[in-house]
Order: sequence, then C-alpha cells, then structure tokens
Amino acid sequence: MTLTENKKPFFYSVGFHLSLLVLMVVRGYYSSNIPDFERTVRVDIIAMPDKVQKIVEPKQVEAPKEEVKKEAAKPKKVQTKSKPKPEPKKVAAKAAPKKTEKKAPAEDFKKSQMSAFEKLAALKAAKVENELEEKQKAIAGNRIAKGTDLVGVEKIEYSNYKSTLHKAISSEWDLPKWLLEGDLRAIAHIKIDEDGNLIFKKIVSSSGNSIYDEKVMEAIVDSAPFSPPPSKFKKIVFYEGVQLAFP
Amino acid sequence: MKFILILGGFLLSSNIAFAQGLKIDIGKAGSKQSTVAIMNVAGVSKLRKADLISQIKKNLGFSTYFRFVNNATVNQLSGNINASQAEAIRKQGVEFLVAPSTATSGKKQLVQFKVYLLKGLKLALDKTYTTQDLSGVTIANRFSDDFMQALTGKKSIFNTKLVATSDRVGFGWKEIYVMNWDGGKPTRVSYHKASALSPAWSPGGSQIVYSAITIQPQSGVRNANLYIYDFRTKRRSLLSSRPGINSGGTFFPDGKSLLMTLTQSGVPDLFRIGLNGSVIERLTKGPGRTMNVEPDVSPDGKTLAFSSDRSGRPMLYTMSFSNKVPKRLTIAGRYNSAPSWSPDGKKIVFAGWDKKHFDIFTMNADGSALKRMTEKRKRTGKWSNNESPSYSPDGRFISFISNRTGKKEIYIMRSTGGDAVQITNDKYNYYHVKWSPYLN
Repeated sequence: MTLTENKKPFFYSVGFHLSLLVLMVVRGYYSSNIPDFERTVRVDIIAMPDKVQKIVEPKQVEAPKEEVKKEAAKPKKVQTKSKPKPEPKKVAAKAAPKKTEKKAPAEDFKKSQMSAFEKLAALKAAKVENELEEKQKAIAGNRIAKGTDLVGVEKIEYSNYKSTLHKAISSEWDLPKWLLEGDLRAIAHIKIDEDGNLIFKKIVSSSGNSIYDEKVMEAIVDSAPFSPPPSKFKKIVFYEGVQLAFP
Repeated sequence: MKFILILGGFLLSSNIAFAQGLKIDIGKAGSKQSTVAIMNVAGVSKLRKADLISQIKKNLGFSTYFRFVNNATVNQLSGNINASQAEAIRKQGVEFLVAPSTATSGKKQLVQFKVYLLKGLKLALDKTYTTQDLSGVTIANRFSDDFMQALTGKKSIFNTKLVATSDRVGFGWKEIYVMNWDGGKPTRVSYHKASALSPAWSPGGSQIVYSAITIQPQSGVRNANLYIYDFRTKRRSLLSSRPGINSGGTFFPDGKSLLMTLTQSGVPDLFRIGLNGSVIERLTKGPGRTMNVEPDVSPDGKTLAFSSDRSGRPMLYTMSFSNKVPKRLTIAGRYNSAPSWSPDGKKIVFAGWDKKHFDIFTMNADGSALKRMTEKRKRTGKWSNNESPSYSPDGRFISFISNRTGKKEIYIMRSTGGDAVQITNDKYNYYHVKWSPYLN
C-alpha cells in the first residue's frame, strides 16, 4: 500500500464534510425566514433561570426607596425597576433619616457633604443596579420567542393554498377498484414554480406496487399546473416543495 | 468513485430532508373499474371456447373490479400484439387485454393466457393450463384466480368450491355434493342412500368430514356416523360409529385431529378425536344434561366456538383450549346456532332465530358488534329462513342457505352486507353449505 493510497480515505472524508458544509450553508440560506407550517411555540434556550430568580428576590429594600427618592432623584427609575444587592442602598437609607431627625443647623456643610455622599452612594447603587440589569439580560432564562407561526392573513393564505392544492390533486386521484382493497400508501414530493407549474415530482416512499405508484404520479401530473402560490410561499414550494401522502 | 456515489446518495436523500415544508394528505382515492377486452381464442382444440370466455367474464364481472369492452380492433386480433397495436387499443379505452390460445396434446387440452397491461405494453400474466374438462369452466376459474392474484396479490374465490348436502338424488335421501364457487358443475361425492349431514372441509381441501345416518355396523341400528371422504383417492372411510350421535365433525387447522359431538353419557358433548377415530380429549361435560354441539375451531387453533343450551336456550359460546372456561357470546335472540369463524379469526357468523325465523348474523369474536346480515321475505310475504353460514377463504363473502324462493337454495353475499346472489337455482333443496379453503 502506497502513501497516496493511505491518504485516500482522508481526502474522501475532507471532501465529504466540505460538501456537507456547503449543502447546509445553501440550505440555511434558502430556508431562512421560512414559516413553520405546524403550529408551535418556540422556546429559545438561553440559560437555566435559577440565577435570575436569586437576583430578583430581595424586596426588603423598598422601605429606604422613598428616602433615596427624595435625595437622589435620578436613581428612582432604576430602583423601581430592578432589585440590586441591598447593601449599598441600606447604607444610604439608614444614614439619611438619622441626619434629618437631628436637625443640626451648624452642620450644614456636613449635611451637604453627607448629601453628596448619599448621592454618590445612590449613584453607586444605581450603577450596581444597571450592571445587574445588564447581567440579568446576559443570563436571562428560557424565553418564549416571537416564533414563526403563521398568523392573520398569512395563515388564511396558507390554508387556502393548501386547500387549493388538495382539491386539484384529489380530483385526479383515482384507483382501479382492485387496488383499493390493498392497504397501500405512497408519499410523493413535488416542487412548484411561482406560476404554479410542476417542476419536480418524485415518489419518496413507494407503496411497493408499481401500478399504485404510477397512479400517484398520474394524479399529480394530471392536476398540474396548479394555482400560483401566494408570495409568502413561493420560495417554499419552489425550493422545499410539497409532500403529498396518498391516501 | 465511492466518494461521488456517497455524495450523490446524500444529495438525493436531501430531497427528502427538504420535503418538510408543506404536507398534504390527499386522502382516499376515487374508484373506477378497469376495462378489459378479450381477444378471440387462437388455435384449435376440443375446448369449448365460448364457455371458456363466458366463464371468465362471469368471474371477473362478479368481482366488480372489471368492465368488459367489446372492441372492434381487438375482435380482429389473434395471437401476439405489437406496441403500436397496444397503444391504438389503449386509446380506445381498453386497459387490459387478454390473449388466449389453445392446443390439443393427447387427451389434454392446453390453454395459454397472456394478459397485457396496455399502458407501456407490460405483460401482467403469462400462464399455460392443461385440462381434460372440455367445458373450459375449470380453466376459466383457475385463470380468473391467477389474474386476480397477479393484480391484487391475493387469491380469490374463483378457484374455490362449496360443499353441501342436497336432495338432488330423490327418494328423500340427502347426499353430499361439491360444486364450483358459483354453483356450477355439482358433483355427488356420497352414496349412502340415506341422509348425509354437516360436511366440513379439511384445511387443504383434499378431504371432507361429514355424518350420515347409516346402519351402525356392530349393532345393526341406524345411527348418525362420522365419515371422511378423500378427493384424491375418491374413497370414504368410517371415522366414528359410537352409539348415539357422531356428528359436527370439523378439522383442526393443522389437519391432525378433529372436533366432534358424541353422546357418550346420553347428552351431546364435544370431543377431540384423532384421524383414526380415537378420543384424544373430552372438551365439555354438561353442566347437568345440557347439550354442547356444533363446534368450530378458530383459525389459530386456540379457541373453540360452539352452541349450548346451558343457559336455558341454545346460545353461542367460545372456550379457550388452554383454560377450558366457556364464555357466553350471545344473549339476544331465542336460538343461536351454527357458529363459523372468519378466516382472520376476528368474526363469527351464525344463524339466529328472531321474529320467528332464522337470519344470518355476524359478531366480533368477543360477542360485540352484533350485525344482522339477512332479512328477506318470501313471495308469500312471510319471512324467509337464512341458515348455515360460512365464510369464503378470503373472508370477503359468506355462503348460506335460504328458502326465500320457496326452495332451500345456496346464496352468497359480501361479508360486509348487501344483497345476496343466488348460487343454485333448481328444483332441489340444499342444506349445510360450507365454503372450501383455497384449493390448488
């Protein structure tokens, strides 16, 4: 065995995987924005939600919220929105009431200094909350995405188009009586262009009876051309096609 | 090269993977009869060609699958056809073309059938038969069965037979007769000069078991004795002649033993016996002095169906051979009798007394889904009796005896219901009809 011969399987493997990659890329390109025909709820799995729950929990910080509101207007939005680690807020909240109770006029400077500290503390707290909010976004749990389910006019169009195809093909779907009693079933795959012309037909699952399969193909050919597909589905019936089960 | 093949295969299969967009179930197809034309029978033989063609048309027409077309072009043809002729005939609305030819070889007549599917000129069947029956009926039945099997993959009733007792011979005797599925060619097989009863087929159809009221050899007393008749040797043998009733013989599916009714303790009970007549096993005993009669074994050989008056009235029961615990199947009606299993073992057909007459009923093997299959008045306005039902081997038909014309005649009907077709139509009476299994 030569060295070149030894490398052959490697090259086959590389070639195969490259072609697989190309195929998947092409498929991904063409199948983008394709709606789901079966009604589904799509859940985007991002992370497990446990972590988020822990952060959301603490509600005891609500009491000092008002104090902070008075003296630090800006962080207000932040505090009502999210629930940060309580420590910084507590510091600010505890300090503020003590000062107001004493009402020492000689300590204006101190007061203003404290006020500045409180502001800084509140701002710090707000900053922490913002960070937490960002963190929350980053580690948000499973979410129900908008999805690609058909709704409204598209759904009606889909239903009508499916019904039109069914009516066209089933009107041509006849079998000899002697074939009806057998438990036969075939699946065909067709592709339709934007004008409704049949551009591809193939039995993808044979009944095992050649005459039955022929009758399936006859029904498809005789029922073409079909109604032009609605614009939303042109790409789908052209590239992905339609799967027809007989019966 | 291998790589290209693998890649090619993958790309081809990707078509299937892509087919996940729109999915439509087209549903059940409409049905239509296929059109058939028969060419003139080519060649020379003693076979009655007209009878041959007539029987083929009768058979295939009865199936309701086919419609015969009298085509002028076909009438001019004989022997083989070419592609352009086939296409021309197809365009005239013919789907299948039957091309028969015949020849004589000694005492035998040879008949060859070629059946063409004209679209694409495909040969659907090419078979040669030999026969000594100059009527052509036997060959027509065999060909019809092969034709059906070639198209549907399943055997048909056309090469099956019916066995029944009849008073055709006169003198008040009832003898055993075997006939074609359509009542044709009735052939006497018993010569007891007495009353023969309840014939039943062996699994392969080469034998029948029946009872006849004949003189008991040991005692010299007239008795219902059990006989076996073999079609291959054309001989009968006495199987059981115990004092009392020796009746209701029916084969097990393996053909190695039988069930029958004996009155060993004064009342009828069910026994399993060997082919030499010896008792293998007693299956029922009472209770009390109640009778257990009319046994029929399920196609899988695991369950027995029979009638018994243990509830006060004759009703139908099943009993597993493993646990021997009878299970009552029928509650309705005053008198239910003659149970007979469908070939798939899912149904039981029987005769039930209701509204002062017998009708044919079917039910699931567990007694559910009871369905009346017959209800026909005589010309006098009175209800007719419909009795002695049995399934065809394909399960699509039920044979039975009805006196709707005044005489007891044989009828067949679809096992799904509908009108019955009269099979015998003469001045005689027929009783205890049983449909054969598939015959070679």
